[in-house]
Amino acid sequence: MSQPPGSARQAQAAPGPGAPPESPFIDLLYRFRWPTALLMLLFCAGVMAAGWGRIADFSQRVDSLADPPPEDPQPRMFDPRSDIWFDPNDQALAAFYDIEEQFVGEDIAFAAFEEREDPHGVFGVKSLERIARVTEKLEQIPFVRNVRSLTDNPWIRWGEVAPGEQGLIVSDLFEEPPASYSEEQRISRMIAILGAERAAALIGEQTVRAMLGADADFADHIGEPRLIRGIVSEDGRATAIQIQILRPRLTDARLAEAFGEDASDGKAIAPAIHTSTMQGGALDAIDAILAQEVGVEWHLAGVPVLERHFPKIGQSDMRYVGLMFVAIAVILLIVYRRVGGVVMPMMIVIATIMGMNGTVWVKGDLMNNLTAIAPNIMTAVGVADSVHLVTAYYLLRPKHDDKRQLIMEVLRLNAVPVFLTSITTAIGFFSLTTSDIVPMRTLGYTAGIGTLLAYLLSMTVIPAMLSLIPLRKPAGMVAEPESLDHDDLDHWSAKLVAFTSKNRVVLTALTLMAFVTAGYGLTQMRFSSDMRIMFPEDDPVRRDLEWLGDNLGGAGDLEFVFRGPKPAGSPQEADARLSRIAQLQLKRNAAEAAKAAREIGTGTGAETATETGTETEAGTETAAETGTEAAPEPPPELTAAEAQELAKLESEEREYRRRRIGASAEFLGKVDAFQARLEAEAQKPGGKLEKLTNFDSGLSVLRKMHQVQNENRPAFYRVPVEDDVPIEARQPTVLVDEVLEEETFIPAQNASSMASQYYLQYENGAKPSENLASMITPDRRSFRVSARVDQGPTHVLLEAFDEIRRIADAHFPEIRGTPAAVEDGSALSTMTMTGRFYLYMNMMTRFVGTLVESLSLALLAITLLIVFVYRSLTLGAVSLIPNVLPIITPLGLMGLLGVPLDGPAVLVAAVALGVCVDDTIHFITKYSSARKEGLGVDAALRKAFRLVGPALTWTTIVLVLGFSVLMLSDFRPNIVIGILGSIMIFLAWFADFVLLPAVLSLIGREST
Amino acid sequence: MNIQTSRAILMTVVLLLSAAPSALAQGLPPVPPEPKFDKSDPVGYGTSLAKYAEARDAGWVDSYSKSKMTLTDARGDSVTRETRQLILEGQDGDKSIARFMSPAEIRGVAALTHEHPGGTDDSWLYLPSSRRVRRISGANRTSSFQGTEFTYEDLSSIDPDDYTWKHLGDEKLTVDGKQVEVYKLEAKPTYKNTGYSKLEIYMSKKLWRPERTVYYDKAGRKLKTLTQSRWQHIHKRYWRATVLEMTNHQTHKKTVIASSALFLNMALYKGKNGKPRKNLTAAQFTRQALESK
Repeated sequence: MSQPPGSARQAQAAPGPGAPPESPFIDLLYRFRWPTALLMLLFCAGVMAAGWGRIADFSQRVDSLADPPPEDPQPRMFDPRSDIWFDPNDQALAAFYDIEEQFVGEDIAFAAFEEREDPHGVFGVKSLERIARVTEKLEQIPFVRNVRSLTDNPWIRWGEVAPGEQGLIVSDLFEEPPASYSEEQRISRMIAILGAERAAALIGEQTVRAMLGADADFADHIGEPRLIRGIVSEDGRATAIQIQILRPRLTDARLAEAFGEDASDGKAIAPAIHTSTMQGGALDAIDAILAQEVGVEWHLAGVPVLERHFPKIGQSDMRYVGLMFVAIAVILLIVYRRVGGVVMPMMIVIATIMGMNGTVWVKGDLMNNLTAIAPNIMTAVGVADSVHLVTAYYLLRPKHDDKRQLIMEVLRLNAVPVFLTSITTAIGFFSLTTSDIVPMRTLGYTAGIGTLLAYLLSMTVIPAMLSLIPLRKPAGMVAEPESLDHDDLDHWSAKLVAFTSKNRVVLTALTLMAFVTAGYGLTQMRFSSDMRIMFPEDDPVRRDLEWLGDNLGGAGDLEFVFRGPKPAGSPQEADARLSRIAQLQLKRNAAEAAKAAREIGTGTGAETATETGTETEAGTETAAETGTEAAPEPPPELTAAEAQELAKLESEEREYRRRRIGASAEFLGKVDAFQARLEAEAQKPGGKLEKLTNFDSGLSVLRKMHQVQNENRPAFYRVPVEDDVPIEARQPTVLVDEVLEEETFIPAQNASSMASQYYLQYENGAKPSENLASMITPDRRSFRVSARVDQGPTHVLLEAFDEIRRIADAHFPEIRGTPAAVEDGSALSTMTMTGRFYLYMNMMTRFVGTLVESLSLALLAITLLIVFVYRSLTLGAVSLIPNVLPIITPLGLMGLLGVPLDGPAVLVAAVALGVCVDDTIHFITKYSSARKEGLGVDAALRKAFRLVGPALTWTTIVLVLGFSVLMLSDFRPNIVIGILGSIMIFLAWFADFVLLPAVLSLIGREST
Repeated sequence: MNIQTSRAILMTVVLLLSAAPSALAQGLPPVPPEPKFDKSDPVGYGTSLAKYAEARDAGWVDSYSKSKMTLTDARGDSVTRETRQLILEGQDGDKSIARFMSPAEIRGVAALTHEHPGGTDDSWLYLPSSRRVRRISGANRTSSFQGTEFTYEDLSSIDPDDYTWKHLGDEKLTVDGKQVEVYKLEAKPTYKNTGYSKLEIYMSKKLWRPERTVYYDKAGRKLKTLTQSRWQHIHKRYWRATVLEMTNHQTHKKTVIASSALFLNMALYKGKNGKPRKNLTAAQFTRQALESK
């Protein structure tokens, strides 16, 4: 109180970097506070209005694409694209698009239930009727492409086609209403599907024996491997209905209709919104159908179900953002005990969020799961900026009689640190824009822009608002006015500094230990996340997901795409070549047969001739004649040129066939062994692949067709090999077309043509939705194997994926070659793993990786900035303590305790880093300027605390409580953000108030 | 399984009346006279239109054709397949053989079908790789024909009695750049094993042939559109489309079947030796005949 205001001002405004006394900038800022404040507020409101207008227009266009148009249109603020989360350079993503382009773009949902009461499990009439009923209804849902269930599933078998005539049957499992089947028929189907062993476990060996015969070998009845643990559980008591939902495609014409010809950003997002709306509609329809089926508990799971759940749970979390606002407002009220103290920071926060979201929308971007937390981040940033200004105002007010002087001093005191904190925070966010992952990039620029807006708003609106507050002496304020400049040794700051100074060695040692421990902990960190445990235990989606995994294999998708080399020539050329080969082979064979006949004598000659296959519709006798009678003119042999041509054509043909992997017996045999190996590994309990279930591919069809072609013998449940082709079929034949009166050569047959013919036969029998086009491309160059994966921690699944690659490389290198090796023939195919689920797993690691990268970059930039601004290496180095330690201590502890780190944990680190740096800069600014005034270390520390201690403490309390609210969430990632955020922000306070002073004391004392 | 390629390809509904003295001269059945249609009831009107169109297409005895199928996926990549088919018209159902010619790996595969209207068709399939003829089940009409966008249901001839008809109106359609006056008919299948809720058939008023057919899935959504073009007027009596284009609106895949070397009633043609050809006989449509190939 003893010092006049003037001297205080001189002291405060002492040559801080960039803020000379009576700065013309501050003067301008004050003079134009009203125009600039209004301009900023108008800008935010205007941008918001423009953004909202764009959203409304965009939503209308998107809705016009829907068929039927939505009954109650909602503004589309959310970007539903899932592929924006994936690394665009990831091969797996390209393969994923490939599947959509070449096979079919669809996602699978599973509706499952169990039957514990009925002695026949889900093969009981009631269950079967339920399945048939639900299946039929599900098939009628728009965009449901196909439904597979216990009643509707292609069933290939050998059986009685017509009375007394056995043949090959492709039909649904239950063609007729289930009630029309006798118990015996149902049991026989149960045995056909489950296999004899499993059926016996369900209904007793006697009943099964009664059906199959007393001496039946159970090993002859293997069931339908394609269905077990996919459509029906091994115990026959649980069943899943597999619903294949299309990702509907919009044609360019339809898009142009709604959006015009220009390729705006909205046009890129619209198809994804369309897809998610249509799929969402299908899922709602599924819900409605299942809800009508009372009496059983339905479990609905699958990637689309999860994707629908995320925004749902996100929405229910929105209320916590509101609660966070309320909590912050209450704390501000308690701290300042003035309405202005609440209104001003909240105004800044709200205007910032409006301006930020408006900018994003005007730019043409929508919100995503990451930018959805940008408002929370902006709340932290905006509150911090304004609290420093407002606190300074209330702190300094007692000393001032002139409002203009007071406000200008507040600005002078804070212009540099608030600018610095804003710049460093913005740097942190903008560093994210270098990421490959789109949401990370949008978060980067969104929060970066928000940070700059918060700064501009704080520096204009707060001075304007402050000038409205009457300048009267306060009653009961945060700090005693006289203590501001008076180095009162009874003040809390003095006691604090005395404590840190006295214990400076211990505290510094503690700091070092913390660094070392946390640093070591970081090296032990594991990145992993688990979709299941993102939701609370009683969450229905989580429960369904776990139930399905336990009973019927997982709901996740894992896709293998095998791709052969570029085709060698057109199929037409191949046709012509094969005809020519057949013609030349026939000529050669006839000559050889005649030669053999001449040597061995007649008799056997006839047989040989027939074997060469020179039969024609009317020509069998001709062939026989050639053999039986000593021909006066022996058939001519191949000329040298012809022999050469044949050799050349045959080699070309081998090359052509090699390139059509989907119809090449060699490739199919290898991939069959590979699939069988994975199936075997997946069966091993506790094995690395135990999360994998239910492989499906064109191989399943081939195996089954081959078995059925061979009277259903289980030994033939495999891909055909050369030995399966009868000797007589290995020769070319001639076919005469009587109408056109022309001859056609049918090429010599082999295992590859057998496979192709099996495919054809299957496709002729299966429903269109079951055709092979979803598994093998028509050009036979790409071959797809689909597996299902149970949910689990990412590190377990990523390990499983690695193990698969290891198995492929170690035992089946031919099918996982490099593109170059495939082209030059040293490998058969490339292999790429993909699938929505697979991409998600990869994304999480990738996500954490980029975040850590950009965090480190930001930290480096910030440290350099501190060194530069304060022209002190020491300050730059010690700034690491309060900047880094609060972040790495909790993460390092998690590493030490073996708690895996997931995306949210790293994300919150980015937000917390911003807060830590802010605290540090505010503190160091005051400390540094006090030192430059000539104060000693302890005195400078005391002064810094007197000046910013209250503001730092208040912002810390506000933010810790604000983040704590998130702990109430139902969504685990948000809980993690809440807990870790609170801890980190509290630790930042602790580091600034305890560790940093101790270290500065130690260094200061050493240096003096 | 129901290999009726031939019928399918050759005859969807179709036919024409062209005043056909020449046809009469060749011993073809006369074109039935156009009845006076009762237009008061859309259902009755639609039914009689469909029945009349059907009645115009009978008596062609037997047929032969080559077909080239082009399957195009959503990305625009395509593959082709070729077949040849023989059909013998029969009072109690047609008999047909479809033989696959291309790609070479399936060349020689042959399917024999004996149709039994109102019952289950008999089908056999010969695979050159196993040199065996297998009896195959002939139930699923909703299954894809050879992985194309056509199902067997689409390829089999439409029996007017299997649908409830409705005349939806008269329209003008642009086909091959020309305006065609058509009846727009709705056909709802009454048989159980169907993949559709309804068909919309645009039938030429003048030529009595279906220019376009739109298929709706069981959920009532537009599924596919079949456009027929490049019509041939065989023996100046029967209209046959030589290009069938089926577009799937949900998957954006497409199949085009182009026919060539179309013969109707073999006896009306001369062979290479200049002598008249013989009509096909039932003996050519037996399991044994298939096996001997």
